[in-house]
Amino acid sequence: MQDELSRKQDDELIARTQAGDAAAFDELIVKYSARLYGLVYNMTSNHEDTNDLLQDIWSKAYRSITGFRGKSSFYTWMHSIGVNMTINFLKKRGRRFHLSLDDIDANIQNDKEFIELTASSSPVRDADLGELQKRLNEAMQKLSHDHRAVVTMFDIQGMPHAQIAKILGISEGTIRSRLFYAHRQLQNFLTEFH
Amino acid sequence: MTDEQLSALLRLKRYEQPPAEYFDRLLRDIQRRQRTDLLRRPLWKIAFERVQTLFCEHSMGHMPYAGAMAAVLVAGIAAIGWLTPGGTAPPQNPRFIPEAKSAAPQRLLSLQSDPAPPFDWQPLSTAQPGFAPVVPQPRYVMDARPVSYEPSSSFNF
Repeated sequence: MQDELSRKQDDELIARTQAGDAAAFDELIVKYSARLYGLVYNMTSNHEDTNDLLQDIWSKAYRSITGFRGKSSFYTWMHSIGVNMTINFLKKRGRRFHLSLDDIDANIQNDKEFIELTASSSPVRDADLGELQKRLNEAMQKLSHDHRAVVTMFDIQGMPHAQIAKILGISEGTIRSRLFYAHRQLQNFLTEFH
Repeated sequence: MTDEQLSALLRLKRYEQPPAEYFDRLLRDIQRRQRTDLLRRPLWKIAFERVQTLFCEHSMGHMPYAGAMAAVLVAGIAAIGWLTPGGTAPPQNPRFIPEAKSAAPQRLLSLQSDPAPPFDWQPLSTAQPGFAPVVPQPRYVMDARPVSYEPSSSFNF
């Protein structure tokens, strides 16, 4: 219901943008920038690159929106543009990256996962969570671009397999296999840390 | 590390978000960039887009849109035909045309000291023995009127 309402709102904003109303496009930017930021940042691990890429992605979307026919949701369409542009950027950039955890939102202190991870008797209880997150970011950077994209969308952003398959234009089976392989790789990297 | 622990750790990464004011700044940056892009674009492209928007499907019904597009197409074809030299070009200056036309044959005659006799266009007789009936093919004598003696262009100033 919520999704349907959101999609209706998007359709209206898109129609207004296509008719030349730039303010409607601004509303779409406000609505989706945080999620797009999460996608791009977790693939690049660099705030400055993410900022530049987000501007490029929204500019491209604005130029292409006249061709948007609503076959998929705006969210899926934007993520397709975002993933493709980020992967192209990463291919050009090579392996240079800069890790920063300074931007972690203060909400993390109230998060159930965070509390469980730091308070329960898990194997990572005594480990410095910041250090572990840093190691995780490094491990993420060791994944291929395609595997990182899948992990970002599934594990970090919580998207279902079907939606990721639509965004990347590949089968759900391929998504599952990429996830399995990426998880094994991440586990290996992080096991070395313990 | 188990799968669940890894998933929990990965989910924590969704909190790696910049402060809220970052998104306001991003919006302003994107708007500024859009304006800059607009200024960099050539004038003809902007004009073309504005005309396109004027006649776009959202501004009018399907039938008027189709009619307008057809009218633009016909006007475009007519303009191309009118502007193409040698097509339906605008009439040339009448003062020079007869002169050019009358001069060409005179020069031609002066160059050809011994003009060849005109070719007989009669087809070979079908009654002649040893020859199959031949279908007469039209022939055009190109060397009787050199091309270079034609007016060089339609603009005779």
